[in-house]
Amino acid sequence: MVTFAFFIFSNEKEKGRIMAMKQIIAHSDSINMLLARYGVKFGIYKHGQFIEQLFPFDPIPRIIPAEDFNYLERGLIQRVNALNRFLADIYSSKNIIKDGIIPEDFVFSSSGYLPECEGIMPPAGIFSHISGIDLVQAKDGTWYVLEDNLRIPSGASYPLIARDLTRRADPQVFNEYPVIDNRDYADILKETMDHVNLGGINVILTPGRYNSAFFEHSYLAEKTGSVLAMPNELFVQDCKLYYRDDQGSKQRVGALYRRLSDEFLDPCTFRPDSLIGVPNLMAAYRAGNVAIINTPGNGVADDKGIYYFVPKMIQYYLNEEPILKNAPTYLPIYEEDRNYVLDNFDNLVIKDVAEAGGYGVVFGSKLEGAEKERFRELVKNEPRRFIAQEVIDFLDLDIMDEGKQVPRKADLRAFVLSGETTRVWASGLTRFSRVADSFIVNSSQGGGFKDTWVLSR
Amino acid sequence: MRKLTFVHRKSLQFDHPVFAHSFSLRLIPLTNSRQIISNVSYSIQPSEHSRMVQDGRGHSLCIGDCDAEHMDFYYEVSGTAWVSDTPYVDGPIHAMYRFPSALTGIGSGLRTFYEQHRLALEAPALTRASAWMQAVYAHFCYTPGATSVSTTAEDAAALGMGVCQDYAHMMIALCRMDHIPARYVAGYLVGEGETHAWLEIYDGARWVGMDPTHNRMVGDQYISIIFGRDYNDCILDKGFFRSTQNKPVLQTQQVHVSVFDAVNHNSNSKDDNL
Amino acid sequence: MGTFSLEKRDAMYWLGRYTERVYTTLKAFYDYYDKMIDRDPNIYIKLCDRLDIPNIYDNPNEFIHNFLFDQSNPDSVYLSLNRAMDNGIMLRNEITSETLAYIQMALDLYGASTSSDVPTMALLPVQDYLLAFWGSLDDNARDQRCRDIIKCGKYIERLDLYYRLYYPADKIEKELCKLINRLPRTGMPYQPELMDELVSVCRDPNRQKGWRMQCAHKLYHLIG
Repeated sequence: MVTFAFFIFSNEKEKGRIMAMKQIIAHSDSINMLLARYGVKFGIYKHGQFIEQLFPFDPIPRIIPAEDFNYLERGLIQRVNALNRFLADIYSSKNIIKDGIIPEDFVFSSSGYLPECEGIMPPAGIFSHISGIDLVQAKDGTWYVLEDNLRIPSGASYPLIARDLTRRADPQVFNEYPVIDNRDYADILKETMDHVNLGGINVILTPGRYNSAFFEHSYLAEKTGSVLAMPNELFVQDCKLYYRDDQGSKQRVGALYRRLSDEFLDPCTFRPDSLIGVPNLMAAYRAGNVAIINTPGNGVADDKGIYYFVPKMIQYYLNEEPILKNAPTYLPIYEEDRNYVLDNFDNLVIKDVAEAGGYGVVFGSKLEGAEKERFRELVKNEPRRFIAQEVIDFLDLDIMDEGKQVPRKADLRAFVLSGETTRVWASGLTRFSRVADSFIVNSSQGGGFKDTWVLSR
Repeated sequence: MRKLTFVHRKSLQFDHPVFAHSFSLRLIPLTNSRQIISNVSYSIQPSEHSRMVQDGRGHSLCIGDCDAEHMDFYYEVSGTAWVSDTPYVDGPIHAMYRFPSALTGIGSGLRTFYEQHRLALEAPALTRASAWMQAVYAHFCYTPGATSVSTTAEDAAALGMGVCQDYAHMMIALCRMDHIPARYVAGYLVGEGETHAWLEIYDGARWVGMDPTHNRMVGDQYISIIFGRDYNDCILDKGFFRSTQNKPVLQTQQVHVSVFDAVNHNSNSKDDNL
Repeated sequence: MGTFSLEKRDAMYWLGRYTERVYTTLKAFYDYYDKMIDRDPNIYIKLCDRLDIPNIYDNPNEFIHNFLFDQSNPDSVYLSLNRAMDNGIMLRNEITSETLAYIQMALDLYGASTSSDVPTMALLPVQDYLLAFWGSLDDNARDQRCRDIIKCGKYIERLDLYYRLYYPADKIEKELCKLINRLPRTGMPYQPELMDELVSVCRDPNRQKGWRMQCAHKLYHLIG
C-alpha cells in the first residue's frame, strides 16, 4: 500500500518537474529581457576591437543531485586545500620538490612562478581564496577535473544574477525543485575578504570597463559592499595601500580582491612597461599590510603541467586518497608518456600549458598531414610545453537552439572559497558550446552559460 | 681585498610635468663572500616616504614616491666596496637558475649553436662554461644600439651583435641548456662609465663569476649589485608616474658611473693602531 | 559620508549632465520638429545655432536622423546617451544595479529605434526611462553626496540648455535655486560669487538683451 502511494507521488512529482521545465523554457524570453535590463554582458576582442555583448544564456539549468554535489564538495575542498598547501610550500621550504614528488622544472620554469613572492606568507596562510575548478561529467556519470584556476577565475556573477532573474521570471519552477539558493555568493565572498583583511576597506580592483569581465567586477563590488577601483585610484605610501578619495584624503585598504593579472599588478615589481597597475603594491603586500586576493604567484599551481601532479599533492600534504579524478593525462617530458602520446596521437587532446581560455588546444584527430607532422615534432622538441589528455566523452546537456532542444558539450566551473573554512558554493558556472560537437566551451570563444542547480535532497 | 669607491648617478628629464611618481631603486650592492659594501650614502630627488625594503631574493631596494608635479628625477648613490680577487661566491642554489627564463628562451638558432659547440658532458662544469664563454665571445661583435633591453638571447644570437646584456643572456641560455645553473648579474666594473652585466655559473659547490663580454673570469674590479634569472629580474630602477597632460611623457636620461681605487687613508689615521 | 575617488566624482557629475542633456534636448527636438512639419522645415538651423553646434546637415531629413541617431556625430543625442552609460557603468556600486538598469534600457531602446519612421513616438520611452532613472536614484543611491553630485550635474546641464533655448527667466531662476541649495553639499569646488551673480542677473528686470548667452558662458566656469 505504502509503496503504491509513493509510486503515485513520485510519478506526480516527475510530471510536475517536466511541466516546470517546459515553463522555464517558455519563460526564457522574459529571462533574457531581464538579463539585458541589467546589462549582463561579456566583452570580447574581435579584430582588435572591444565588443560587449550579452552573455548567451540558456534557460535549461544543469541540475546536480544532492548526492553528486556532496561527493563533488568533498573532493573540491580536498583539492583546494592541497593546492593551498602546495603554494605555501613552494614559496617557502619546497619540501615537495626535495622529497621528489614533483620535478623542479615543472615548478620553476613555469611562467606562473614568481621569485618576487618567495618567503611571503599571506594572511591566514591562504593563497587561493577563490578557486575556479573546471569539471566535466563523462557519459558514464564520472566527474573529472579538467583544470584548476587559482589566479583570477571569473564567472560566478553570471549564475548568481541569472538565478535571481529566473526566480523573478519563473517563480513556479522553484516550487517543484528543491534548489539550494545560490544567492549567498556575495556573502561568502565578503566573509572571505573580511577573514584576511588587515585593517581597512575591501577593494575590488578592476583593469577597467574594457575588461571582458567588467560586469562581474562591478556587480560583485555592489553585492559585497566593496569599493570598485581602477589602478589609478589606489596608491602605496610607506608600504601601505590606500584608496585616494575626491577630497584629497586617503583610506587604508585592508584587502584587495584584484581582477588584474600578476604581470600588470605592480609596474615597480613586474613588467616596468606596464601602463596600469599599482606601483610598489608588492612591497605593501610583503610588509604584511594588505591582503591580496588571490595572492600573486598562484599561477605556479594551476599550470596545465602541474595539474598532473595534483593527485600526488593530495596524498603528500593531506595523506588522503584523492576523491576527484583527473582526466587521464600524459606528460611528454617523460619518455614513456611521450611515446604513448606519439603512438596514440589521434585519440588525444594536446594542450599548450602556457595558453588559456580555450586557446592552444588541439585535437590530434583534427590535424591533417603536414600540420600533424609539424605538431608531433613540436611535442618531441618542446615536451615541457605540452600535456596530452584522453578525450573524455562528455555527457551532453540539452540547450535551446532556435526553439529546438539539442545536445551540446558543457563543463562546470565550481567555485571554492577559502576563508575561515574552505567552502564550495552550491552552484557554479555551466558553460556550453553553441556549436554541435565542439568541445570548446569558453565564453571568450562564443560559448554560452547556464545556471547550475544543486538540489538539497 | 681591494678597496673600491663607487659613485652612480642617474638623472631623468621629462618633457612636461609628471606627478604621482612612484619608484623602486636597487641602490645598495649586495654583500656576499666576495665583496663587502660599506659607507653607503644616497640621495633621491624629489622623494617622499622613501624607505629600504627587501625583495623576494633578499636584495634591498629603496621604494618611495613623489606626489607633487616635477620635471626632473635624480638619484645618486656612493659607497665603498671591499672586493676579493676571486670569481667565487658562496651561496645557495635556487632551482630557477636551471631553466630558461623570459629572455633566455631556446629557439632553433641557439639549439643549433649548442649542438655545434658543445663539449662532452663529462667535462667539469667550469670547463664547459669556459668553453661557452669563449664561444659567445667569438660569436658576438660588440655593437651598442643593435639590441634593446627586451632583446632575447635567441634574437641577439641570430644578430651576432649586442652589448654586455646580450653576451650574458646568450651564455646563460647555453649554460642552462648544458645543465649548468647560471644567473645574471648586474653591477659595476672599474673603468666603465655605465653599469655592466655578466653572469655566475654554479659549479656544483659555489657560484663562479664570468664575464663573456671581456672573455675573462670575474676579479676584484667587479662589484655585483644584484642577480636574477635575466635582465628583467635585475632592472636597477623602475618608476611609474602620471602625466599632467593627455599625452605620453618623453624622457631623456643621463647615467654616470665611476668606480676607482679608494685612497687609503689608513696609514695616516690616528685610529689605526687602536 | 561615502568615500569615492575624484574619478568617480567626475563620473557622477557627467552622468547627471549627459542624462539631462538627452532628456531636455529631446524635448527641444520635439518642439522644433513640430514646426518643421508644416511651417518651417529649415528651423532646425536655428536649433543648431542656439545649441551652439555646427550645422553639418544637408537637409531637414538628414538633420532628423543624424542629430538623433548618428553615434559618430559628437552632437547627436544617441552619443550623449552612450556617454551617460559610459559614466553610469563605472558607478554601479554607488547608484545600484536597479538604477543603472534604466540607463541600460534607455540605451537599448534608443538603439532599437534607429530605423523608426516616427522618432517622436519611438523615443518617448527613453524619456520615461530617464525619469525612472532619476526617481530610482533618489530612492536607491547609497550615499547622499553621490546623489547631490549627480543632481548638480543635471541642474547645470539643464541651466545651460535653458539659457540657450530661451527658457523664461522664472524657470531658469527655479533651477538656479535648486542648484544653490545643493552645490555646497557636493564637496565640489565652485565659485559662490559667480552663483550669486547668475541669480541676480536672472532677477534683474533691467538686464540687457543677450543675458542668457552671457550667463551660459559664465556657467561654464562655475565648477572647478
